[in-house]
Amino acid sequence: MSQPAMIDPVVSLHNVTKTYSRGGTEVSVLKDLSFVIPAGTFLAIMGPSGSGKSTLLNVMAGIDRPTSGSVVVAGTRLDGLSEGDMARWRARHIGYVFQTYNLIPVLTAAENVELPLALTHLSRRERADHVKTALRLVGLADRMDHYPRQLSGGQEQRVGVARAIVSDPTMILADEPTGNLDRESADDILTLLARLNRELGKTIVMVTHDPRAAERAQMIRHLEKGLLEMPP
Amino acid sequence: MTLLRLMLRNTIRRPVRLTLTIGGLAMVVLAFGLLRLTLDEWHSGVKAAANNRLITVHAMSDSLQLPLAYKERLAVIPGVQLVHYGNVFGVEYRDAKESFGAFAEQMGTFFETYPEILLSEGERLALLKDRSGCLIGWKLAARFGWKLGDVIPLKGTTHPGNWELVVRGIFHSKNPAIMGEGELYMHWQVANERLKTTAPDRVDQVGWYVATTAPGANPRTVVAAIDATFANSFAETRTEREQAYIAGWVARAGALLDALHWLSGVMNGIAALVLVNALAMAVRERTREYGVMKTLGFQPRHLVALVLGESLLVALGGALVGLALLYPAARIYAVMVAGGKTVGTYEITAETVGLCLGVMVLVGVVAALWPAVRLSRMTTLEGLRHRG
Repeated sequence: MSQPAMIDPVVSLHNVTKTYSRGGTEVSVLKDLSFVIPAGTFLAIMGPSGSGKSTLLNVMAGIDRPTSGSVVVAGTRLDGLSEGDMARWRARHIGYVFQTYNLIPVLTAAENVELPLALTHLSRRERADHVKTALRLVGLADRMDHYPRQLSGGQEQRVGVARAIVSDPTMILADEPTGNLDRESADDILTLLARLNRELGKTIVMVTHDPRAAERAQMIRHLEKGLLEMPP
Repeated sequence: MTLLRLMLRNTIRRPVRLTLTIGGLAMVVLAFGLLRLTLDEWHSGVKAAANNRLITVHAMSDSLQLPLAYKERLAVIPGVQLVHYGNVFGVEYRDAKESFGAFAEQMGTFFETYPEILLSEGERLALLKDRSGCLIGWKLAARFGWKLGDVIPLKGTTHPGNWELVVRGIFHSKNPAIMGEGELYMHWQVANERLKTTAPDRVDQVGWYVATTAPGANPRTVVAAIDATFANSFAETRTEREQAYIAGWVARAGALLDALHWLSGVMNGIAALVLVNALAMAVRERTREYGVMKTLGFQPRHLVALVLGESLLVALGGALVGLALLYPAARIYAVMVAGGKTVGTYEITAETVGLCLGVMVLVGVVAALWPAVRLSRMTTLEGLRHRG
């Protein structure tokens, strides 16, 4: 995937390895990965369970730290940041979409979407405007006051996407965003992600094991046993 | 605002658990409040004591008697303006369970010595005129339904025999901690005369003298002068200012008071454990949500604020419910204690309310510490991987 002609890479990984210790045995999850992701890319990373897809996504999000190597995302080298600085950085640059939606059940759809904005200096009115815009974008403007338990799985995930984009992050990371959805809802979410990439120019990295989902991305890369398959 | 909403909704998320936790805390606050009332009651006399009253008792023991003859010698000591004396007058009404505080007082000096007594002039004169008359506090009158003119049949314990006293006055007290409104006062002379036939060896003896100092007199000098007057006599005296005398009684109950203080501390510990348990359960259940929040960019301090806020809300809820219960409970408590030996004031002071609230705030903070530390140490990944 490394393309010398590319400008403005949003993600740049250099010799990244990640090793876990399980029962006294060292398990290599990521093996010496080096690649860049240019701005505005919609990339799908595929691979079987345990191939290291989610670990790679978490490393890019600053949720997990590599054992060695450097990770530069949105112009910031992540491996030197403290937990607090990492959280601050993540609030500015990363929108994260979870497989299991992970909405806060005691907050309404609008309040869930507003949550990341609590970390900004926006006024109440500005926050409300951002929330409305995000929910309108995902087609849930009429469900603002519904609690997660009052929404279908597909709608919950759309709220999750709205929450990921509401603070206008540099990049959206989606971990199996359609893994818990039926075909129709999954298509809706993938269409939404493709629109965000196409119309708003968002850089999106999606991890999936579903080939149909991956087909919606501009680029597909396979991760096998910790190694990223390079384009032929 | 979003975080505040989240804190409030998290607090009420499990209504049954919340109700039980607040109920548990309220019971602790109630018990703590009642203990404080008891302690306040013990100390109220010390605070309320008059500056110009000196108490003189037997140097060896309060239970030993002093000769009546000391009265004249006390009266001429420089700085002494008035000398009053009295005895305990132990009685039972109907049966032993219906006893109350009763005292035989020299009525000629009683009202001047204790201006705390609020009584109509007519009742005061009626009492002074009737040697078989007695004065009762309004709480005692209310307890047994006694009214002016009623004849009260009593069985003497310190002064053997049956007594029939006529209620000539029902008083209120400006200062119930000193002049209890659940007590009875009768003529010392009448009690003394009965002793001539029932216990002749105890005639003309008093339990205590109360010397009122003259304006401008130095109480310390007068105290020293009184005890010096009776030094090396067969009944030496111990004289103290009223405040010191009452404080001495409180100090003698020191072990009991210490135990009550310890008990208060234990109760607060129980409250903290109740809250820690509830919070720990809540935080464990929401660990994944906290992981999600960290993913969104929230920092440990935000999560600590959420947990601390929730802990304080629940603790204050417990405090408010407990205080709401404390007011009626204090009245019931006062009546129950009145059924025993004495009737106290048992008033809930602003200090008690403040203490209950302050202690529960402290409990709220302490209870939040462990869950807050856990959340601070938890990495984002640990939070996201948690399966509650």
